[in-house]
Amino acid sequence: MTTCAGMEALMAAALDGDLDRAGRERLEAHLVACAPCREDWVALPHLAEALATLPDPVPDPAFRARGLAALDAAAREAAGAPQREVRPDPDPDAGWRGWVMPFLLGAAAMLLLVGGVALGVGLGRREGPTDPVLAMLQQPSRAQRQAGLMLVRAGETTGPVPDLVPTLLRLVAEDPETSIRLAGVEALGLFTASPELRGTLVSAVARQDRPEVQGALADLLLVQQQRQGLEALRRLEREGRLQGPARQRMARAGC
Amino acid sequence: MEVALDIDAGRALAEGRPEAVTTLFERHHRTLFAFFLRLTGHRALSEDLTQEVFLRILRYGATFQAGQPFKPWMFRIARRVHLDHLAKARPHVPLEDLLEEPPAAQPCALEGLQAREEAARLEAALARLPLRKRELLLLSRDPDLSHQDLAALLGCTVGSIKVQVHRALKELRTLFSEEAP
Repeated sequence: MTTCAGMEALMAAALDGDLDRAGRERLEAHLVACAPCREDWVALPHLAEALATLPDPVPDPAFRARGLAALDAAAREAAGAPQREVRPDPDPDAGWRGWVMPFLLGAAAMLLLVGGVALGVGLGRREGPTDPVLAMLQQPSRAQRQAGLMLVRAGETTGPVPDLVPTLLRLVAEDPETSIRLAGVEALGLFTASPELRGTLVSAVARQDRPEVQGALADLLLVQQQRQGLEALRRLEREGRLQGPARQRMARAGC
Repeated sequence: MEVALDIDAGRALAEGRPEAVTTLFERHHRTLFAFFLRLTGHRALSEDLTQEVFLRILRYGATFQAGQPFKPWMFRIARRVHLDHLAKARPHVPLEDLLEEPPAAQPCALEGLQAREEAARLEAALARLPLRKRELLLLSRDPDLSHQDLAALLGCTVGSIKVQVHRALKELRTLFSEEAP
């Protein structure tokens, strides 16, 4: 009987279907005589299959929107915004937020300072939001809206939630930039207990025309309303109003 | 078709269009998160490592060779990010982190074992496997990574990869048996 050590390569090759005739005969002779290797021969392909089909854990629903917003900001910066000092090797312990977010929040604060002065001038002439962050969310400038969203997510707004939630919902429904919409969904995640959001989230999912944003809203709905949220998604699916990403969320949640 | 999306996005990156990274993030962030979570056991850290991979993809996109498969390149960066983390990780691990719950599984999609308990046992056995072997099995379960890709990633021959996978599976089987209720 040959030793088991030499059989590992033969078994691995045989399972891949690239073992020649002589090797196959050696392996078969060994398997007839060796019970432990015979067990491996039977069990390991099943184990490999089980491993391959093991369901993957999923990240927190907010991670996707957060990641896209950060990448979008970094991509724009790389595409030609004024250069800042970039650490060549960011500290993994601090994570990406450790070096991206301070820069973004700093930029947001600067925009708030500049935009707030301009808005203050404007507010003297006509009625509008009194909270500068709320006003930033309604500016035509993409940078202003993005900065406003960062400040909302950082808790830097004093605006009343009943005003803020509808503004965010409008942003998520209508903003021309997908990344802004996604960042808006993430900001809405801070207000899941708000009655204004509870009553309107299903319709926000239904009327959302960007698949990835609808998927993020579906995540939020499932987090906020769980079973009821799932039932609402199923209803929308029956009505043909869900796109691919939201359907996937629904299917996963319904497992 | 799916691979074609990667190739198009990779080509866009190589041509200096950084916005393509969002397409790649949409397609692969879950895969990378699961990979890191099974390597580290920490959800927040896994999100950070995943994000760091895409920031590096953005930063080094111009070095990607257009037309080449994207996933092996992505996993090369992911391994580098993980190794950098290990090199800088503090030796002290907070007790809270050690008590963190293992990743939740979705048993309904499990076809081979068809049981929540067995999926949890397999996850537990995988978590006990030595890091190098665990990483190898996690990479080998990806249908888009060939043995040739793994050999290039890990710097050894295809034959050696096959034997290493076989041995890692054997060890996983032993650990899986020990997890029996």
